[in-house]
Amino acid sequence: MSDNNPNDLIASFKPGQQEIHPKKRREVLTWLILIFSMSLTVAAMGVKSAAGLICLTGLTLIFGLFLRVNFSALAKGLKFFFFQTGLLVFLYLLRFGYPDGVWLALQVSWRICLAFVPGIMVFKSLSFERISGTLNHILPRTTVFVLVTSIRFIPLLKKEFSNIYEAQILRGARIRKKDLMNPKSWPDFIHCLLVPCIVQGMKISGEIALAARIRGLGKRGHR
Amino acid sequence: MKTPSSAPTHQKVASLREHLFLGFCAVGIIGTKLIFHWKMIIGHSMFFTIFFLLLARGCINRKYAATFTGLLLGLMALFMGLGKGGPFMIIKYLFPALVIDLCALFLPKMTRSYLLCALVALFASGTKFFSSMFIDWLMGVETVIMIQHAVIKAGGAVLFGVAGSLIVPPVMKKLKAHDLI
Repeated sequence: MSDNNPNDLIASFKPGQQEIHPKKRREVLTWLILIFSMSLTVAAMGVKSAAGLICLTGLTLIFGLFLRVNFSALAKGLKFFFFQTGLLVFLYLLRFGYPDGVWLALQVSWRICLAFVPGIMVFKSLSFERISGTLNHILPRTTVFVLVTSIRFIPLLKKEFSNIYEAQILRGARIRKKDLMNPKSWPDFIHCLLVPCIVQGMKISGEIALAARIRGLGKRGHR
Repeated sequence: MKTPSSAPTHQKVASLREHLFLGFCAVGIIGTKLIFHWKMIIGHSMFFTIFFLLLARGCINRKYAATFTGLLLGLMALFMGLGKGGPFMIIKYLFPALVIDLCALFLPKMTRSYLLCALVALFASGTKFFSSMFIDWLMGVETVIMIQHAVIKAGGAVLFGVAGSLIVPPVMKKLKAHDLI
């Protein structure tokens, strides 16, 4: 049975039996995941005791297992928290001295980590299409279209940027990494790289807008 | 951006083109964030953030241009997992964008002047102080440390934000010279 065939869909409904469409079921599950992740974030702000933090860490780990998160990749992405912990430990040590300052700083860092990790896990594990489908219910259609299109066109923009960069280097512009260490090269960076990239961005946005309007974006409710 | 004739279809295309350009400004911020990723230098990401937000407001003459860019930026950062702030990423980028749009209401030609750009960037980057304090307050950080932490973060953000704003006037001048805005 395909999702898109209305005859199959109608035939699948029997009298007295109600079935949620698979696409609707996935949307509901996405909403539940987002709400649960927000709840973990809010709970992390409210929890003060070490026992509470341990319970919350357990819940977060279970949530991560449910989402099938790659924990090693997640750990790499959380390197920033080590830097933040170091800064907080330093500030708490100045204020409260050793050893009270260390434990208070670690507790706060733990809480910050627990507040942010559920959101990071959700957005790393759910596909972009799934989340954008959910966003359609909250944000205006144009905003979701612009968001989706901008992300989809990142490879093209990257390619255009690379082409401009290479072409300008061949022309003799001082825009390599080692050149940018010298402030005298900064005008080259602005006039030879930034401005052409902005102009190219304007051109591409015009082309996409025209193509979208020709395809009828915004004319009917579902487009 | 200059709009063509005032037929409704052309207006709709021009409007969508402007919104897409704002989306690409947000992509520019994300791209530069990924390229210039220096963990130990506090506030360095504000350099290109302020540049692209001011550019968005300067090129697109709509009252919400920078705010729209900030919103898209926050959402993109969330989706791409770039956020160290989780759902607060949106607030982090919306605050400076709102300040830029607010300043543009009173100083419409701010993107043509170095001094005005620097002043607006000072206020916009300074919002880092409040966003940092807000997040720390939610996490239960002690008051004095909350202020110290916010001052350190805001200090770096202001320095880089003001530096980033200074490249906006020459870029706007070049775009104006080529009749693109």
